Amino acid sequence: MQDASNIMRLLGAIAAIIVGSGGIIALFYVANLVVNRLPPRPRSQILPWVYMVPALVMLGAFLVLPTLRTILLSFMDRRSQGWVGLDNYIFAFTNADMLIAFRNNVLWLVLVTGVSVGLGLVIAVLVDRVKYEPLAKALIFLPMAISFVGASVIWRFMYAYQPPGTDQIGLLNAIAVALGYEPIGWLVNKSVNNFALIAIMIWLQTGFAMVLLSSAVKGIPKDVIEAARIDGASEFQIFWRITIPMISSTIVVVSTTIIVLVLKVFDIVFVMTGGNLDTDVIASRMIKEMFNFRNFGRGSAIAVVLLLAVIPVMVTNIRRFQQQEANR
Amino acid sequence: MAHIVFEQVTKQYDNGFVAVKDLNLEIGDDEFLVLVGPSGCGKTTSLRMLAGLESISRGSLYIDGQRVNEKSPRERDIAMVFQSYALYPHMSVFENMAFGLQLQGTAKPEIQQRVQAAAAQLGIEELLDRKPKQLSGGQRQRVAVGRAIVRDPSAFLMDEPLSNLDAKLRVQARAELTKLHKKLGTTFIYVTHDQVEAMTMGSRIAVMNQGILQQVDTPQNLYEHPNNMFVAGFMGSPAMNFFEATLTQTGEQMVIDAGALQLPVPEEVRSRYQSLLGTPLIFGIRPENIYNPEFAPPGINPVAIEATVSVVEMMGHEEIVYFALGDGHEFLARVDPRSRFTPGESVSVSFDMNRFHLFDKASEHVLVS
Repeated sequence: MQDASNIMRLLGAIAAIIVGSGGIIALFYVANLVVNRLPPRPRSQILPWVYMVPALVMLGAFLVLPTLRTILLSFMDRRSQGWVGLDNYIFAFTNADMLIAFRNNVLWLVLVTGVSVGLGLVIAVLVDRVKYEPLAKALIFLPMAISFVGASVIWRFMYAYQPPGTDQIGLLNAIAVALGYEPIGWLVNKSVNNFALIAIMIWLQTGFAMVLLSSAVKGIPKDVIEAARIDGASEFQIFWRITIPMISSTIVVVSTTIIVLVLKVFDIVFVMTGGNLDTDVIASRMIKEMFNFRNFGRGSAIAVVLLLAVIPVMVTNIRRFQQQEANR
Repeated sequence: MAHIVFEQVTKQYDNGFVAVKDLNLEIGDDEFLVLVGPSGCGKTTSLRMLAGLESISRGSLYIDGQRVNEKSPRERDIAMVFQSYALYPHMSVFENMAFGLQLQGTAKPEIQQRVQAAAAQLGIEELLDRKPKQLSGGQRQRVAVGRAIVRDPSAFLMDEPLSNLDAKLRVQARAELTKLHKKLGTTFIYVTHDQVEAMTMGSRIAVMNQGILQQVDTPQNLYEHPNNMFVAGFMGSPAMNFFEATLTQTGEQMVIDAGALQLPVPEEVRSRYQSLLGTPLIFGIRPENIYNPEFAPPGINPVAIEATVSVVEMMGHEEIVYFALGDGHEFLARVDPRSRFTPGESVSVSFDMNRFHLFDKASEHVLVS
């Protein structure tokens, strides 16, 4: 019986795929047919809309509406039954746990963005001169392919702690003990636990930054570097005065992308510490308020705060992109 | 001012390819030396070795008596103009020109003054605030030259700096560079594949081919007395005509026998060729030394040759005519534009036997020219 119901389910899935994608194709086909009957003038005006409307409807249904509803909920109480005005926002900006989350997020933003872009840049420039460049790049890029949860699991082993005197199974503590130090509770010691989490994100994002920056570095004409060398620039001066200014737009794009990613981070915190011991970030607070404490009002308010924080970054990014396009 | 000496300089890449082989070349103070040759001949590699952008595999390079093999570009006191101009795109024209001086630690007012002076010299003062992107090709080329002269180096290296300009600008820029060289009185080393640039600008020309220096001489000497077939064929456009030939003697007459071409050697020089009788030779004659007898100038030593006109290119000031001989050999002549040859026509043309070259067929070296 189990088998039969499984097969039915599979058939159902296949049917859904066929009907779903077939339906879309049929929709476009029919719409196209109808529009093509029109006289040329209105046709050229209507035709683009025929193709765009389904996508816009989807975006509206799955992006715009939920956003609006979240904003609405953020002004309501925990069960979304009565209006509470700005209470949820006041909570978001005054609650002690929230303030810690804000502080942590700033730490994350500054350190992850700064270190992974900085490291990525240095590696991108260095790797350009290495014989086994593809191999070196692949190794550094590899963590990018690992999910945040997967990475967190790996790093739990790195940070694992056993009481002094017992065998350390965590790599870092094994090294610490071997060097004659006490083992450190990486994830419980409040002075290091945030940095331990941030290190994971840096490990994940450096490869991403490096790959994009490396292609930008390769885009610098060799002649220009040589001209600088003949002008008397040292390698260090070339890096600061030629390389960095010439790839500045890529640096901005990479930085903003990482900033957006960091603002959204919650999985690493969730898996490693559960946000305990002062390691919460805004997104993990949001999940907690929303799903652990079932306070939809507060959860939504935090979500809106996050959304507002992302907007200026996105605007910068889009502006940059447009500038780049215009410069082509 | 720099005195540059290449001594047995060789460039061999890791894959074994030899780009430059045993280059011996001495470049004097305030000389305008042009390195010319087809692409891949090693001219740019030689220049880059001189600049310090390419390491030297074997041999020594001296600037003003000092061995500089191991010296970095910044220690060599040279400036270079690149084919692509290689301007710094994120800097204004002023900053582009000032960059080298800033790195040397020159004082700000002096930088200001020197950049202004160089800009005035090149007529680019009103461009100083612009970015390279906002400049035309000709303006960029000037900025690239400006960036070089502002540093007042002891030698200027130029790697095909005019090849990205359109034909009209190129002629103008050629004259300007020549003037600049006179004014600065500094050593110029100029790489080009264009023999017209070489002929018009160089005080001496070094012709290279396949990594080997073929000949160094003044433009005039190079043109009139090429060392070998490569130089003879490379310098001059259209190129010199070559025919396989042998030298024969029948009685008093000495004849260059090239199949359909039978060219008597002038009596005055016959004795010089005595030893070549019977050796396989290449006979070479430049297109401008073949005349339409109607318009031939006085003072030549004409030998009439019958040939069929195959293609005529009317240039306005001259006609470039492709001829075919009875045995299928072809040759080219630059004749008076009044000739009005028509394709298919059989005509008689005059070879000036005062102006021909003979090369050894095996070694391609010149025997008499």
